[in-house]
Amino acid sequence: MTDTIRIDFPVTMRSVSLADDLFKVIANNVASDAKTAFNIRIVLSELFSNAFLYGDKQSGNAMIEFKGCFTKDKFVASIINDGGGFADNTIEWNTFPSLLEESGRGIKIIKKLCDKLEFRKHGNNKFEAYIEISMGTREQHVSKAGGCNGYSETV
Amino acid sequence: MDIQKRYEGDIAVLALEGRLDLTSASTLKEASKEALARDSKKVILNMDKVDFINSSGLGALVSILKEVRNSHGSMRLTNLAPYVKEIFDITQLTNIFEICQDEKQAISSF
Repeated sequence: MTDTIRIDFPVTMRSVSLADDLFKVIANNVASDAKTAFNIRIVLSELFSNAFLYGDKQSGNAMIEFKGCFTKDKFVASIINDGGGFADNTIEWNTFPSLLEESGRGIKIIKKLCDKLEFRKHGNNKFEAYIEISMGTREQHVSKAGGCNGYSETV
Repeated sequence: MDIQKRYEGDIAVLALEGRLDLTSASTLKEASKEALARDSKKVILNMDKVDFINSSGLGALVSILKEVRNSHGSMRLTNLAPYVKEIFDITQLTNIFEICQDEKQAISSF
């Protein structure tokens, strides 16, 4: 088992910037190549931006939670927020918005770059976006295969 | 995001540096508006030093493209890093953006 990193961010624009700094470091350290690092960073960035844009900004005490863990062969992460969810069931995954639309691409980029994407609702007001990205063999980072300590199927 | 602007005749060249995302999208849109306000109908965005872009950054570029077109101008993107270019491919935005290898090629393409 490997340990899970968990960080809570306040719902501010500053957090979007800080979170991306963190995601860049994580991606560069866990990925075995530059392309995978870029993909991890963009997926996490999209999820966090979504949580910021559609989450609770009114209450003043809402947080965006990041959880991440990497095993021998995959990177697992969640972004959990209060308030609005990330997507609804009407998304047509295989088509992008009209080319001149200014929004609507983020969730589809995530879907393209992840091996697994799930949306989970917890209680009345918490939403989780859960992703998995295959990493290939990274013997230099993790000595044992296995799951993530502190990460369960239902968070 | 840091943006260096320069003008070559009627061409505005904006050299971008840093990440193009939710936190920098409005800065870029503002800078391009200033260029258009100077009556520059031809706009080049040099993305050589853009190391990261996400959908918010793509949205900003689409917004700028529409403004340029509304002003009867044209726009080129240059020097895209391979992984940045791949995001354009994934989202099919290569169909609306004219992407050039470098500024020299972009200038001669107008």
